Amino acid sequence: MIPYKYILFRIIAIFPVVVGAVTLMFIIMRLIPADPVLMLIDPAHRTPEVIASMRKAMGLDQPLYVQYFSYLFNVFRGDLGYSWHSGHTVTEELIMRFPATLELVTISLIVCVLVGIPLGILAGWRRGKMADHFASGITLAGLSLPPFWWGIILIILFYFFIPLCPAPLGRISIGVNPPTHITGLYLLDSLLTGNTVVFVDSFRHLILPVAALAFFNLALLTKLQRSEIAEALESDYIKTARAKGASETTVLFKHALKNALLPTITEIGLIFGGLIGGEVVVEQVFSWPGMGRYAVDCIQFVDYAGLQGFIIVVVLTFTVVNLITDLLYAFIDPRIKQ
Amino acid sequence: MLTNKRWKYSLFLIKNSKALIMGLALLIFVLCVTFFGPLLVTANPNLVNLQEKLLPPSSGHPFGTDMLGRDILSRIVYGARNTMLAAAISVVIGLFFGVFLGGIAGYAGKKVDMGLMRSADILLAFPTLLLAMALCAALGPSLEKAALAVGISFIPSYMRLIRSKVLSVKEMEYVEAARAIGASSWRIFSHHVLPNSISPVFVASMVYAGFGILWTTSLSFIGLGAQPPTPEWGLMILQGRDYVLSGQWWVVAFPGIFIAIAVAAFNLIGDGLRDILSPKLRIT
Repeated sequence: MIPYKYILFRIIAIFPVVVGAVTLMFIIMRLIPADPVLMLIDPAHRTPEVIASMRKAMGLDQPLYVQYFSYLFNVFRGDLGYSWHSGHTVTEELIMRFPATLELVTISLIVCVLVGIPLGILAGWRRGKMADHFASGITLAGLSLPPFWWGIILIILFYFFIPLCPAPLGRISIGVNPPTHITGLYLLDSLLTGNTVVFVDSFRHLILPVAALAFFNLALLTKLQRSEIAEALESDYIKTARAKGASETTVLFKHALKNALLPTITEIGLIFGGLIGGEVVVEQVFSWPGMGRYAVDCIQFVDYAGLQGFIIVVVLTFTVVNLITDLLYAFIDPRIKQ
Repeated sequence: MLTNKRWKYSLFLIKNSKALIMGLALLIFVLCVTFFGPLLVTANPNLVNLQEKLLPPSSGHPFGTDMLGRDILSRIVYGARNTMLAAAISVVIGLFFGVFLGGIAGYAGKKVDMGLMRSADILLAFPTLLLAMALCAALGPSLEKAALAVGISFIPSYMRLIRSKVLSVKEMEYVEAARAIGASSWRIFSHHVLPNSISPVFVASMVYAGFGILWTTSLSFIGLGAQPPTPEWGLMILQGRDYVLSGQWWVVAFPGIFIAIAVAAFNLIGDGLRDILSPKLRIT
């Protein structure tokens, strides 16, 4: 039976968190010790009249609580406001940049899952053996190398010394036209339109950023998965299975994995959050035209609506992913079905 | 006699943990660089010498020079102090407020717990680095403020960790016994519940110290942390990044190696301590 009540409760519970996050962001942005009005006016034209009329046009002459409630009201109507420094609406800006970020984060997540989980399982299963030491080395390196530095080192190695990858300047080579816009994800769009040239080109552009972004989170996932397996293998039901004469592969695949993979589902939510955070820094290194670079620009230009809009999208995505992983966990694990 | 035996047992455990020994060795190395490095490296880290700019590593400049002709080794050595200070600030802020608020939430329960933990949930809805980034923008760009921002973004995770421990400890019999002999709530909390809940938090702090270094250097790298001409490892990488494609790799490579060594030291100590204190305890 599907626990509709629980699902409904969890969906409703998203709202206070998002409103809280928006409120917090609203306050934090107003604390930035720089005046957005002055950022937009050329120093030569900064007369009091110009400043006052600009302030009025931007709605900043209203009391703070009026600004807050009108912002909140507009957000619920789907209007994220106007991005002062770019001259577009925030929704336009984010829609334009979301696919680039989504592509980078999704491919990195897939790499994390496909490499991190098997590596963690292997390390936990062969504890203290060669495979475990190898995985420990990878984990330690991944968790210790700063992703932005690692990205630059990858560029030095695989662009400068051994030119295997294209220049770290965006999603596609100059001179190659982006594929017909369907989803905005270049890999998917070029596949759908059968454009192999663009597919190969955008794939090559993804290799280094994904390697830089995924490494840290892959290491985290390996570490978590290793301890899940190691703990499962120490438990009583494994001893029982072994006592009954089950082979090691049966023990691992039929008994240990079933239990150890469950918590991994919620950990994937955690990894997703790590990827979104890390993506902001990695986008800087690879001039990736995603939301992270826009967010950093917004901070520099004190663009209130821009950064607030970015945070709403990130918090909403992160919360929904966590909700999905929690529900999936509850759905798969028969013990929590109640 | 008993304490002597305990001490010997601890030493035995430490000796048997390769991770802990390696971590301690790396940490001692980093601390030596921090405290004694400036005595050995005599070059001024901020001395601009444009005639010697972007020199590759040589005997005069073991790690080469940067775009202003400053000695990179010397900047790394003086920068160690900044980076370690940033790590310390972030962990102390997260630890102090996280333990205090999380402890109160777990011990007081009911409405206090509800209020504090829902606030923590809001902070946890932000990816840590993004929260630190926004806070850092509000506080103003400087290394200390970046470390403060990172520390604040650690608070909710610390709160969760200590709260879950307090919830189990407060049901223990010795807590009941203390209550029975008429100890005040505050006394029970500060003398019985908190001291018995704190060990996983200290283990986690090692991992958070590593994160503290990673996030503060990341903030410096996107221009929100340390400001020029401060010798700071993240900022050095930001400044050297433009010279990578023309082949001057040393400007970026060496500061990053030192970040990795410092973070690895804390990660290894964290792993070692966790294995020793409680083999089943896991930090996420």
